Amino acid sequence: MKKIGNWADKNLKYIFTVPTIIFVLCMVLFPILYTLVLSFHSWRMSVHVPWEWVGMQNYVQMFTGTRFPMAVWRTFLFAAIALFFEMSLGIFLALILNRSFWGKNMTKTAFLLPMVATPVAVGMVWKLIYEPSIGILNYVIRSLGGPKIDWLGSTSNALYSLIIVDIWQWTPMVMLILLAGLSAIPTESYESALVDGASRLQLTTKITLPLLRPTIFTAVLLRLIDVLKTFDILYSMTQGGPGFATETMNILSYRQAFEFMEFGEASATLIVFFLIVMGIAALTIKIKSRVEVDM
Amino acid sequence: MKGTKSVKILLLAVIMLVSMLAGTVTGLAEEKKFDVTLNIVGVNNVITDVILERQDELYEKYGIRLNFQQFSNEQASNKLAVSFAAGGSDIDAFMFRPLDEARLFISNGWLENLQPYIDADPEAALVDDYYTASLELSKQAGTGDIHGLPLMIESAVVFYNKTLFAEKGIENPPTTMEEMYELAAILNDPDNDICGFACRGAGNPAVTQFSCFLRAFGADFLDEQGNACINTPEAVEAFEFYGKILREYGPDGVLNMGWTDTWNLFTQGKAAMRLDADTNMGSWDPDNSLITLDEIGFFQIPVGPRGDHGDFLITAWALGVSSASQNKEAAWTFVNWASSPEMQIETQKRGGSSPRACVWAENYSSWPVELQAVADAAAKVAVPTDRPYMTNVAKARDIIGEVIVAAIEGNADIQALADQKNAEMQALLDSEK
Repeated sequence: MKKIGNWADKNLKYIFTVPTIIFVLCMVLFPILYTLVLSFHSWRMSVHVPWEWVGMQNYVQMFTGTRFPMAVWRTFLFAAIALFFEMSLGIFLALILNRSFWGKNMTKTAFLLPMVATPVAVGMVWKLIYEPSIGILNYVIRSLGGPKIDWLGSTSNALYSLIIVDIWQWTPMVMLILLAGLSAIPTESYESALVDGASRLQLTTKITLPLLRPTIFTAVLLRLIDVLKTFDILYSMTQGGPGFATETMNILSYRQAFEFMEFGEASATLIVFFLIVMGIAALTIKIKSRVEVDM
Repeated sequence: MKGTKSVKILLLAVIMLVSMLAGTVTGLAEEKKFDVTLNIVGVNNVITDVILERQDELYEKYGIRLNFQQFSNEQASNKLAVSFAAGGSDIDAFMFRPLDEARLFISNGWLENLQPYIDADPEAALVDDYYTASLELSKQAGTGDIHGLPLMIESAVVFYNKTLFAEKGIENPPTTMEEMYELAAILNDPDNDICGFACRGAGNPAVTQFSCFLRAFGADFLDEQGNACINTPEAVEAFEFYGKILREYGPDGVLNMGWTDTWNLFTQGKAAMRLDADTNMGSWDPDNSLITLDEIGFFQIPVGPRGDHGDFLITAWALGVSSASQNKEAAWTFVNWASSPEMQIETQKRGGSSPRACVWAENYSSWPVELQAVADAAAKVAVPTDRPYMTNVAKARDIIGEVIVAAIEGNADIQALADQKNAEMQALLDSEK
């Protein structure tokens, strides 16, 4: 018994880490490697038909056609605009809600409601809001003398209409993270600044925002990864249409896999997507660590 | 002596009881061929309704219980794909769309070859009773072996609102595409949110309905050699016409619309004319409609500028046995039962459209007489496909759908785009050879 105890003591670092390593290997590394291998094959997802080696063909096809590059462009356009507004509005709302006022908790709860709603349900509700003839949005705009807008039915509007939904739903999450960051800022800094005669604006720009920078970067990183893999809202509202106007990399790979049954091509799309997301995440972490060092 | 007699009586009673029980058990075994629960994947339509309502009958007759999973069209395909990636043994039988999926599913090895079952008992399946074209699409290329039994056929028809026609003083429905365009202009009333003509505008789903226009203008998806030909002058003319009529007189948000959207518009009195499948009548629900059945008129697909017809008559749904099923005999029995004339008659009564000749021989249909007459006239000139018949139909529909969407938007050079998409479709066809 003592022997086992000694052995456990000696190998404690392995005993605690091995289960996690096994989990990561099975649930993360294996699927990625499987997808990588599959991306060099042609397969229609039938166990009765073997994989066929096609080399780099799936990757070559991806970059020679127009559909994939356009999907990449839309993915980034969606991510960039959504992220910009979610961060700006999130910071603004967090600063407001960090003050004390009557009904603060109720307001905070109300802001969090979109975040807790199921994305597919959100999609269905917004689809009705955007309905060109009977939707409430066009009703309001037309009552005010504005034009009838084809929110989801026009190739030039659809992507932006979806971005609005994403901003509406996820700004509260940014706000929540930043509120936590704000509460961690020591009050001494404010007190000494006030003694030195700093104005409210100066307090925000010289103390709050610089001290909040690490939290902002954490929020950016979390939202960036999330917004890049947005699928549910897009699929439930437009399924990539009209035409391919809202087809992002996620929608494209889903359709390649489950509608065209081209699992090799879908895997190649996902591998490229994975590398892009990894690259962006690594870059963001690097910038974040530099910001933290500067402090 | 008395004791011996009692024993004899007791023995006789036991023997009689045992033989009675044995008789009952044998009788049960004879009555019910199977004792099994089958996993079925199907879609939400009138056929499924009839199957589910009469499943007790299936159990009484054959001892088969059903675990019936209902999905939307695309979800059913996804479900099958996921199941077959893991072997497919969790599914015993499933509904499929022969035009979209027969070639793919047969080449993937998902569909059991039903020919040996049919040959073993030709009387049971009554395959000679099917319209030839309806059975053709469930056959394996080359061998001609049947891999699924048809459940429903459909054609395209134009539904029109008689009240709106009367309000504008229009007496006769159009017979040519040009006339239909002119009537759409008269009937279009954007101030009251009424569109002159509604049809599918979402690229991929629109392909089947667009086929009516393509054929009416004298073009097709594939030529006689099976090569892509969606960039001929006639095809481009069809794309431009379809785009023009929907852009100018179609509903708002048409680019995201499938059949349910245009059906809702029509039944709410918001579309004067609407082109789609005649089997949509199976979804007619007077309680949720703002128009009555008497207000609905029907006319055949108008002919094109050179008098060509655009009608189709396709097998919309078929039922097949999973090649990985552990209960193939029972699954075949179920497929046979579900596609039997009795079940088909029941479906026909509820607005379905049977592929069996014997069902049409009697007047079982609940369709309005006018619709039956239009469907009959269309059947005489119809072609058996409404999309390019190939393995990767979904991808081909996406390619063609892109031209349809561009035509409706009206900003692109359709000839140039059709040339580009024709090349893409040809490359797809070549990859399937």
